[in-house]
Amino acid sequence: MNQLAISIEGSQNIIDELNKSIVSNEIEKSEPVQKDSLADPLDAPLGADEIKGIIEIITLIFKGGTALMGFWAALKPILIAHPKEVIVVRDPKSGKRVASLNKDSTEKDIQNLFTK
Amino acid sequence: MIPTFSFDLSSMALWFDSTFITQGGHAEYLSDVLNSGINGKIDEAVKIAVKDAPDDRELNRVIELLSCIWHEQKHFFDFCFTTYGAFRFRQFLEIYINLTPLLKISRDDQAELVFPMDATLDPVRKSLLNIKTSESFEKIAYAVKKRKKFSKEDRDTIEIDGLKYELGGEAQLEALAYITQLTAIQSYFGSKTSLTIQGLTPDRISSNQKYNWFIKIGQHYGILSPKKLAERQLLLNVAPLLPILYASLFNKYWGNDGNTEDYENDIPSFRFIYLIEEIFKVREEYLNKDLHGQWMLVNTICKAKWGRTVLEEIDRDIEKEEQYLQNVQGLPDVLPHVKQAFEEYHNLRKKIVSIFRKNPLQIITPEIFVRNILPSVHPMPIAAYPHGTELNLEGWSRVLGFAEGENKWNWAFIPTQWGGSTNTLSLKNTSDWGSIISFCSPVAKLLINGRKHKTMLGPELLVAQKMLEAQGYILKFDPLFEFPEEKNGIAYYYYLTNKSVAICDTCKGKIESPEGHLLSPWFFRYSMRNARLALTAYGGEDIGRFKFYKDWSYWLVCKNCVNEIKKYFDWQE
Repeated sequence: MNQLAISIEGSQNIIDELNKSIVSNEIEKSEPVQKDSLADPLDAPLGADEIKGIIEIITLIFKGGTALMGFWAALKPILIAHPKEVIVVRDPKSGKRVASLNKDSTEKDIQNLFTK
Repeated sequence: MIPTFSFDLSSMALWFDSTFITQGGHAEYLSDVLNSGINGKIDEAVKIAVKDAPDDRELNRVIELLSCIWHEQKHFFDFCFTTYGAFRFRQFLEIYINLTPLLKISRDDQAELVFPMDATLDPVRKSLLNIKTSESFEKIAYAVKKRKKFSKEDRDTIEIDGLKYELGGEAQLEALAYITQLTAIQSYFGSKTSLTIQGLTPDRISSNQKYNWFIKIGQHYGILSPKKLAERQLLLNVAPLLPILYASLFNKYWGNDGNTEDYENDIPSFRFIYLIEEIFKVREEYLNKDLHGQWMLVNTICKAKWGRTVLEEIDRDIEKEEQYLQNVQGLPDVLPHVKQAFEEYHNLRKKIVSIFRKNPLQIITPEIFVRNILPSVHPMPIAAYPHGTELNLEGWSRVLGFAEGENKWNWAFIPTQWGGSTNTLSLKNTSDWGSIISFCSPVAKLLINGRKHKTMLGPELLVAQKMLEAQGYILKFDPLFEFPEEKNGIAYYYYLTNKSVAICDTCKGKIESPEGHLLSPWFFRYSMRNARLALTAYGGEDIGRFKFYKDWSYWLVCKNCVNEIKKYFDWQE
């Protein structure tokens, strides 16, 4: 990734908690947005989609040297509190998935996001 | 989701694609039954289904497919009838109404059209994507953002026995459509068949969560029978919940006319929980009443809490919509077919309300609705051909296609005439709705969520995009909303086609159920590298290029091939 910016995709609970937990001046946050479309057609039970609840995306821009640590400090306890959940990290400029994080992820995984 | 039957609320139309369901044979039989169903000829559809059935298995399959049409027809009815449904349709109408001025200003100012448009309101996304847009664009973007906020608030969930159930307006409409579908099967084919059909759908837990959630909640509050068998006796048990489900869908949606501007305390999910908790307090009295008595009691609670009965809510909603329509009629910049379509939709709502006013139980009682009203509910069908067809269907007009020199094909058609007699509940003006289907609706979808949608075809979005580009507009996509999600619908492939063995589209090897992977047509549009895979398979050069443009069908690939594809091509997860 060329820029110090990432988008995090996860359940509404996780993203809302993360949004509240990040209070650093060195991290700029977008508003969390729903991934699903309001314009999706309604399908019949032939192809029932899995119920996943709301998936949200938040974009973060890291502006200072300690921002990454602040982000990890906010995220780690949330991942531990939701051991079954996985969040997806994307490059906001390409939309591509760059990593998945869960309760077992480490600070090194976060650093790797920016050194790949 | 593999698109087969879907109700598209942006055009109030019923899309259908028979590609998969006719692969397992008996195409003529299926086509005869389903065409009768789409045309609202229920008795004829039922007669052919039974008379011409090659075997029991095929009969059950065609009944289930037919019942999906009834499911979507009920959606069409409810998106006209309920204030929630009308609110959801008006989210598109607002964009259609503003489309001409929006496009004009964007072109005059050389400002970008941003997809999805609410990205322009967020300073972080705006700076990161270097968005340059106009003030008027942001004004409409704000309306889209507000609707998204409402949708998020309404999609409240409740957890029972470790499973999450959504309670919002869309979940309520799914419940009503599912009840209608099963009632119709029971009414036309008998209760034994209804139970058999319920057991056919793959992934029963997902289906339960999406379509049967109300049973769990009804049981949780003691309003439905707690018997374990209740889920399989659906039609005997759900009546006490119907007044609550319907009354939850009549909220206030006109700014200050509502309880608050943020719709607090009057969104369908809140209304549902409030009503069910109030009924829980008087459960014995409620359960001792007949459906009419239960409906009256629910209306008394609505009046006390929100100041209006359901009928009063509808009357007020129609009155406000009429004022809005009159304003729109006076606006010079609104496309004429948008004005006419809005007027027709509004008049259809008034017609439905008059049925309700005469006797609410005609609509609320599923057995009466299915026999007396459903046969006249005719949403306009859109026949989809993802492979692209050179044929012109007699009696149908193209709404989506391609033409460049000798390369001409069609992806979607609507009937040239629709709606028949004055008694039908339908939107009949095919010219107005055809224009909405081919341009306004896909542009609105792009503006609402980029290309991240469950699409019936796919080219509808790209054609609209190309039309805008050809007219000189500067388009910008937020990459996070650039493509639909890639999901493997292989279980539904075997289910819909009735097959257990298939051939891999790349290595031509044999694939046996449940193995395999369905690659969506979007996969080949992620990047030039992916596109080359299809271009080569189609013969390369100009022939391959046009085949690639034309073909929006799914590819079925074996496990080995999909692993190779994941290694060497761009893969969206």
